Amino acid sequence: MRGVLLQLGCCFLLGCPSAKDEVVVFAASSLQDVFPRLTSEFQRTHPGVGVSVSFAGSQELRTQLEHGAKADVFVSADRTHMAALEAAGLVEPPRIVARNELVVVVSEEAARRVTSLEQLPTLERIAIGGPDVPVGRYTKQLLEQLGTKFGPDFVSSVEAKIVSRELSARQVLARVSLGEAEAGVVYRTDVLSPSTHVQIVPLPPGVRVEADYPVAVLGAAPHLARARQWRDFLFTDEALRVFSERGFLVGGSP
Amino acid sequence: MSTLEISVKASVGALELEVSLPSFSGTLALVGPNGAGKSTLLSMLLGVRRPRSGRIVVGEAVLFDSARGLDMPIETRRLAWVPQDSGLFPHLSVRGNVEFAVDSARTEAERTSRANRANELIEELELGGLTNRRISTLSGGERQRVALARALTAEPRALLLDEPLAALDVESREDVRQFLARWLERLTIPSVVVTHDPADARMLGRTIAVLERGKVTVRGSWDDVSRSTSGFAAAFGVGAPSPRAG
Amino acid sequence: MTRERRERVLLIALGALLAAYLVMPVAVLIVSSTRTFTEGIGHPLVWPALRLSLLTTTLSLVVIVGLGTPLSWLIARSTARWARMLETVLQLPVVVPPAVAGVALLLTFGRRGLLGALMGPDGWAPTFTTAAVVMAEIFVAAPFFLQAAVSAFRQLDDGVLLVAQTLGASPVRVLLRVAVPMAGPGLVSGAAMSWARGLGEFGATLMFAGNLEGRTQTLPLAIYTALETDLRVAQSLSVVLIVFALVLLVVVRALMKSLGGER
Repeated sequence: MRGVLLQLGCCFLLGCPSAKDEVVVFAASSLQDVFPRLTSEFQRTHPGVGVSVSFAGSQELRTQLEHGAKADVFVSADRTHMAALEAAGLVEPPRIVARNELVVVVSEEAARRVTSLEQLPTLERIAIGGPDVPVGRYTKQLLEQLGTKFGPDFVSSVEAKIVSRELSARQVLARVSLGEAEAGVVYRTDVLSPSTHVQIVPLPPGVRVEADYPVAVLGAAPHLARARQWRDFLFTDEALRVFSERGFLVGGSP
Repeated sequence: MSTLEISVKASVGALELEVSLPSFSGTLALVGPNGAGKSTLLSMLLGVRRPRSGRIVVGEAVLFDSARGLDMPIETRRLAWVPQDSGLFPHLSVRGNVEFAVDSARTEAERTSRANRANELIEELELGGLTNRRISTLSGGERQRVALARALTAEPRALLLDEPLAALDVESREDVRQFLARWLERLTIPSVVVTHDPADARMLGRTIAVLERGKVTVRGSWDDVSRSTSGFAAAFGVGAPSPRAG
Repeated sequence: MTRERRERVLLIALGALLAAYLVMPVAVLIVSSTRTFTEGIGHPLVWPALRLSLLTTTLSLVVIVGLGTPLSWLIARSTARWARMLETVLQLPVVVPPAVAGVALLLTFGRRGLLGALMGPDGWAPTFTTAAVVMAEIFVAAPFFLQAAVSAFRQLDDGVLLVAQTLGASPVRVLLRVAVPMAGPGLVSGAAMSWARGLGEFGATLMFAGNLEGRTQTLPLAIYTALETDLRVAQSLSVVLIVFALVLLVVVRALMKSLGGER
């Protein structure tokens, strides 16, 4: 009895799992759907090793890591947040493991009116990511490219219709999926998740933005060996196949 | 002089109330042991509780008549009630309390009438020097006077007083009792005083009614009640006074 | 040490423990931010968010007190069973996580919710408007006022209320001129708690109203957004919020004292 209490107390105060054989991963929320498969694949070749994952916006995870959160590996949805950690000396050199394509989606109701991107300004409510969220930054790049294609008025008229700057791509998707926002900019992999009720509007030729997913092992990882094993696993053929099955871009694929 | 007539039947918990008081004018002292139904009777007069059957008439107004399906709401019965602790509004001054009765008038004419009455009463009850005082700073006797002024400002059809002297200290009681007796004498409306105190009943009540277990057992003048041994005992819990003291 | 002294010390120690725990983080936050406070206060996120928070919480407070006073009065003075049940049900928003409250609001007032069904596909919906912020705040904050008001009204002396009625006062008059002044301190305290809850509201607002500077980004939302970029900015904004709330609490205390002193 006392042993159990002691262990519970330990867990309560120390946030326990460190004693177990496992890998603690901080991953961008857009990776939520691909991780279960990756985990089971990893455990096939490394039986008995637990994989504990925390999903959140990359900016949030980065802040937590900067404040000393105990994790083994970090997978970010853009280079900027990873670069910040690199500059602070918190991570080993990162590598890009996969990429994601940015897409414009519209709600079921809006899909009847908008079939090409030029018609985007005719909508009333557009949701995008906030300026410091990876998807928000990528959206900015996308808008810049569209501005070059359709002219500056296009960009300003789209920006006038922005009704919310969300804190993650999933939230943007939720807005459009629920029909509250008529259009939004999210990752392709988000749209492949089941039950999204949205339609993709194709981008004009020459317009394309890709998100990079760098992965790095943390210098202060509690399970350093396992952390490196897990990171290396992500670059194996099996793992890369899981990624591309879920809509991510790997290697040199278009 | 207007009269009050009450004849009601009601069941309240285990108590079967059956009261029939023919019209009376002036002050009726309602006495009896705890649990006899005095408060219940008052609440039925006020309109808070509805009798099973019966009739309540004050002056020309029929406040309740089960046979004709009449039941006036509390606000329109115009029966002034002064509870045991005087029921003054603690957040208003003396003048504020009296003026509440003025402002509660329904028509402009009524309002003017009440306003005039208020000024008269404040003078007659010698409240002129107290008008700006907070209720908490008043003595028991002063509070009763303010409560009276407020009650009578509303130009009620009848006045109901619940243990008016119980909250006073013994020294003030005699003075206030005499004051109250004089006042009640002058009223043209009927009034009911609920009390435990034989001195109150004797001095204030023109008629006395003894209520025991929901029924009126003795009704009459002080002499009538004091001579009836069982009635007196029931009313005041003491033996009948010797003939000389009566 | 005598027994009395020992027990008194024990009570003080227990109380001090909790008091210190509650006060310390806030004190540390304020003290550690004083340097960056002046930077923070000039941050572009601050003034739109502060103005919006002020506006929305005031509006929601007006609605909560305006509609909540009659409601709590009715509940407090009623002996019927529906009143008891309603009283319990009205506390539910407190138990529900704010994000869930946001979802519930969407299902009711969103484009695909009940309201959307009524208004049609091109009709108006409150989402993404400042009205939605007010709606979210009312939903999460009202129960705090209602509970305090019902309790305050319940404690009123029945006799005094009845006297008012016998004098001819109408039900509204009894409520406004007798009950409310007498229940004053309780109502003010409830309103303050309600206001504070509305001020700090975040989850339901984000879910239901969205996050746009000047229109739906209240101070808590601005703080959360700032957390994404710069912790120090979030700190400064938090200090602004705390100072704000402190001023409010002081004002309320003074108000309650002056009301209570009138007895």
